Order: sequence, then C-alpha cells, then structure tokens
Amino acid sequence: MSSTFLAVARILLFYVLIVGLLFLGVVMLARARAFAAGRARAWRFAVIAVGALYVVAAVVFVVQPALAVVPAVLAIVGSLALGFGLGGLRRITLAEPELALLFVLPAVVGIFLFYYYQIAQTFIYSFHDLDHTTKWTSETFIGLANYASAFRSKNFLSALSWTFTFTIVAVFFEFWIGLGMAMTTFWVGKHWTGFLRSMIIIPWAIPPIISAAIWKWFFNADVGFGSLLVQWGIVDSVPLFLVSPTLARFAVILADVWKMSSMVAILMIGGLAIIPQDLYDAAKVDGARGFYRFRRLTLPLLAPTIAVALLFRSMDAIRTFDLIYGLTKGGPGVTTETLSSFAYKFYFSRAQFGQGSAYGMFVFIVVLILGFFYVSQIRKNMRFKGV
Amino acid sequence: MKEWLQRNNKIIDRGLSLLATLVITLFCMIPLLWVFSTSLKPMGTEYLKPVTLWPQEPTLDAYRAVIRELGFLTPLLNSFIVSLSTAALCLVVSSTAAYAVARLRFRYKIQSLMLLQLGAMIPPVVTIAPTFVLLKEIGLLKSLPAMVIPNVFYSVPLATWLLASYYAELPWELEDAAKVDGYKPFQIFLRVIIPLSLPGMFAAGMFAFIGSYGEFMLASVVTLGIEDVQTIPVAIQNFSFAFRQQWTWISAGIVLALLPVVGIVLVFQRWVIRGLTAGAVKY
Repeated sequence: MSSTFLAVARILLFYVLIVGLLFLGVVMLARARAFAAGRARAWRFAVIAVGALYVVAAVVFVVQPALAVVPAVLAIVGSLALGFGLGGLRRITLAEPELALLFVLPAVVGIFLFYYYQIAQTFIYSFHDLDHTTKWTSETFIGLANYASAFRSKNFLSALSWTFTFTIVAVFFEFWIGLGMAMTTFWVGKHWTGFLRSMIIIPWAIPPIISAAIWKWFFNADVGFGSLLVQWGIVDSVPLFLVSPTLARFAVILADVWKMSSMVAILMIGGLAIIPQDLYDAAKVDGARGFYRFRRLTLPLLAPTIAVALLFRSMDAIRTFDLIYGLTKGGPGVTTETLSSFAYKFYFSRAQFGQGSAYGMFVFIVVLILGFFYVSQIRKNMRFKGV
Repeated sequence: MKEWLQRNNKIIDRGLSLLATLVITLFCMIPLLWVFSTSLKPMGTEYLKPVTLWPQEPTLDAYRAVIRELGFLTPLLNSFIVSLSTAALCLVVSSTAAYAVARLRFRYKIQSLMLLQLGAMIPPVVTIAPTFVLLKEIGLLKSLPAMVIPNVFYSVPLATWLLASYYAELPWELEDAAKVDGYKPFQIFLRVIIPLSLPGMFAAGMFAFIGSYGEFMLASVVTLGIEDVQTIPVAIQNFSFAFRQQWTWISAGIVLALLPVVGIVLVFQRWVIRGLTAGAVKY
C-alpha cells in the first residue's frame, strides 16, 4: 500500500515538475523572442537554438528518458537566461497568453506521456527482436524483419483481411440501422421520443467486454438462442454460432452491430436535429413524398454528419478488441481474429513484444489514414475564438 | 381503400409509431433481457431443456451467491473508485484546457487541440505494451492508481472537446462585465465560467466515468491475477472462464455491473446525445 502511495507521489511530482518547468521555460523564451526582435541577429539565433533544445529533449526522452535531463535542463536554463537577459527582471504575469499556456500544458503533457511517448516506444519495439523482454537497448536491431515476417504469416494475413471485412460489413449495417433508428425517434409521437432514445443509447453505454459476455451466453450451443430456434421449429438442428467459422463471424458482426448501431444513431440524432424543419414543410407543400424527401433533402443535409459517423465508426471498428477477446477469443482457429486481438496475443500470451508491436503498428497506420480524413472533417465544425 | 386510409390516418400513425418503438426496443433489449431472465433462474436450471424465456419461479439466489460467495462487491467498489477518481481528475485537466481553447487568445491553439484529438485516435493496442512497462517500472502494477492515471488521459481529449464547445457558447457579455469589475482571466474562469458550465462539466465527467468503467485492455494486464484490485470488466471476464458452468451467477454479476451505467443513461439521456455529437455536428 505504501509503495503504491510512493509511486503515485513520484509520478505526480514528475508530472507537476514537467508542467511547471515547461511553462516557465516557454514563457521566458516567448519574452526573449519578443525582445530579440529589435536586437542583433545573434540573439534571434540563440532564441531559435534554445527552442530547438526543447525538441531535442522531447526526442531524447522517447529514446532514453534518463539522458533527456541534459537537453531539458539546458533548454530551461537557456530560456531563463535569455528571457531575463533580454527582457529584464520583470515578474511573470498571468495575462491571457500565459494563462492559456498554463491551462493547456497539463493536458498536452499528459497526452504526450500516455499517447505519443507510448506509440514512439511501440514504433521502436517493432524494429527489435524482443522476446520476453522490452529492454530494446540491449536487444538486436533487426530493421523491418518483424514487418516482413508479418506478411509471411498466414494467420496475420487472415486477421488483416478479416479486420477489413468485419469493418466494412459491420459499419454498413450499423449505418443503415443507426440512421433508421435515429429517424424513427423523430417520426414517432413526441411522448415516445425520450423513451426510444434511452433504449437506443443503452447498448452504447454497456462496457464492450460485458456485451461480449452477454452475447456469448446468448449464442450458447446448448441452451442459447439457437436451441430456441429449434424449439420454435425454425431450423432443424442447433446452429453452432461460436463453433462454425462462418457463423462465428456472423455472431461477431451481429454483436458489434447491436452495440454500435446506437453510436451511429446518437450521432445521426444530433445531425437530424439541426436540419431546419421549414425545409421539410416547404418540400411537403411542393408535394415531395416520403422517399423522395429522404433522398433529396435528408441525405444531402445530413452528409457532413454521415461522413463523421462513418469515419468515426470505421476507425473504431478497425481496432476492435474487447468484443473479439470476450466472445470468441479469435476462434475458431484464427477465423475471427482482428489485428488488435492478434497483436494483444503476441504481447501478453507469447511475450513477443517486437513482433506484436509490428502488428500493432498496422492498426495504427490504417487508423491514421482514416484519422486524417476525420480531422479535416471535424475541423470544419470548429468555431472557437481565434481558430 | 384510400378513403378508409384517410379516415383512420391518426390511428394508423399511432399504430405504426407503437410498432416501430416496439421493434427498436426489442432489438436493443433482447440480449439484456436474456441475461436478466437467466439471472433469475434457480441455480443449475439455466441448462434445462426446453429453453424457457422466463423462469417459472424467479429467485434472487444468484445475486446472493454472487455477492456473498464470489465477493462481487469488491470489483464493483474498485470500479467505482477508479471511474469516479478518473472522472474528477479528468475534469480538472480538461476544463482548464477547454477554457484556454474556447475563450483565451494564444498561439498554437489549433495545434494543441489537434494534438489532443490525434492522440485520442491512437488505438489502445499500440500503446498498451509500453504503458504496461512504464507502470511496471514505477512500481504501480496491481494497484488502482495504475488504472486511474492512464484512464484520466484517455478521457481528456473527448472531455476537452466537449467542454470547449460548451464554453464557446456561453455569452461573452458575462466575461466583459466581469472584466469591467476587475476580474483577472483566472478569476473569470473560476467564478463565472465554472458555475455557468456545471451541466457541461457533468456531461464530460459522465463520459469519463462510462469510458473508464468499461475499460478492459489496460485493466486486464494491470490487475493480472490479483482479485483485490480487479475492476468490473476484468471480474466478468474472469467469471465467464472460472465459473464456466454457473451462468446464473455470471448473469447476476452482469446485471449488477450494468445497473450503474443503465441508470446513468436513463437519467441523462439528453446529455449523452448532446455530448457525443459535440464537434461531430454543429450546434
């Protein structure tokens, strides 16, 4: 217990220290920059050089955290010296830009530590032969060998193709079901809307691994949904949902569609809510009927939301892990293995961190490509002061 | 036929509405009801054939067993500790960042926002191994903070985005008035913005709560084999392997685990929709 407390205190201290020092350094550097503008060129170069030291410190931190102290200290000291030297000994005031920096830094430092630093580590791991260890400094550098062996592995290629198939099929159904559910909440009478929306949201809120457990029981070979179908006389023999490869894939997609159609529906409800009602009224006056209104009015006006929803869901579906791990564990064989569950196995069952990291990077690359479209799409919806 | 349709228009509309509501509700509820009905069956009868949709003699035995014999309250409590502290810490970090993004002038605003959003896109499977190593090296494995600290930052991007879009909508006149009264930016944040944005803060906190309540990948490697620090998702996953046959028990565990999230959703349905669509949709 006390050792946990100590560890928390240490990491907290480290975090506060980084945020504080970065704040101090950047503010002083900004001051130096402002005052260097009218001075000799050498001063401006000094400011740029000190600024570069921060980048160096960040890069070294990724590779060898302990060594990063040197450039970091140099950068801070340099900033202080330049700031005080050029700008005089005035106190730091918490005016708008400084306060903004102080407010943004805790989030940015945390994200750097838990996302960017981590992914850089994984990237480095993927170039090393790591077996039951992650100390890559003392292991052999093998270049792209992990990536090359990925493409020679039949299981990986099967996981790759299944991940894409799964994403396309699942997102397709989620889109139409989600859109249908969202439109229904507007169409049913007012007193049903709230109730219906609550029902739609519930699957989204359920922890993914628990939803996987629920479906596992639902698809139970002895007394699951399949037996019910036999009892009702719909099929002759119990369909083995989690045993037969085709049915297992069907089960995984069904479980995902059940849970994630809600997500699409939630986004669509938001998008539909901002379509002005008078457009519909005008269309009605013009005599446009149901399907025509949907195709010519709803779909085009909903297009931005649809783009966001599709991209968001695809990014999410490509990294599906919990559902596979809880429902089929990738089985039977490797038929329902996604890239994420495949990589996870290499990390934590086989402890082959190098190979696993290479597999993980594939997920990242695909998500990154989709992510760029996603960001450019949501970028349009941002309207903050000064953006 | 046409006349008949027109005369009974209202009734048909009502009927169709009711039917659509029923179909969607069934679609969303069937798996949950399936588990709920299993949890009410007497122990062992869940394997009796023919399969019954509803137990003839519903009993709460499974719930008693899960709580007394399997100590299910421990993971429930752990999950609450982890999720609540994650939500609280996440709000501290993200509300300040969101205020800066939405209300203050500074360079690199859009870059810092994009840094957060791009970070959130990084799939967990790419960060899990080094995070595990990091937590191991600082000696934090097998403890609750090992889940809280990463979860805080996993939920910061969404919370920042949500809060920033909320802050951006508050009227600027309030801020101007506060400035005239001699408030500094920090005081404006504390005394004007925070009190006005409590609903938004609440929604952001709820998302952090739901996110960390269901977080499995990190929890599964951090709590490896230590039952005292297991959270709900890990406990359920372990149940369904350790007590492979006792599905009445597992079902009871699942129902207990779902009560908090379903409760939250039912009460705050409006906020979920507004929160998740912030950014994706202009308001």
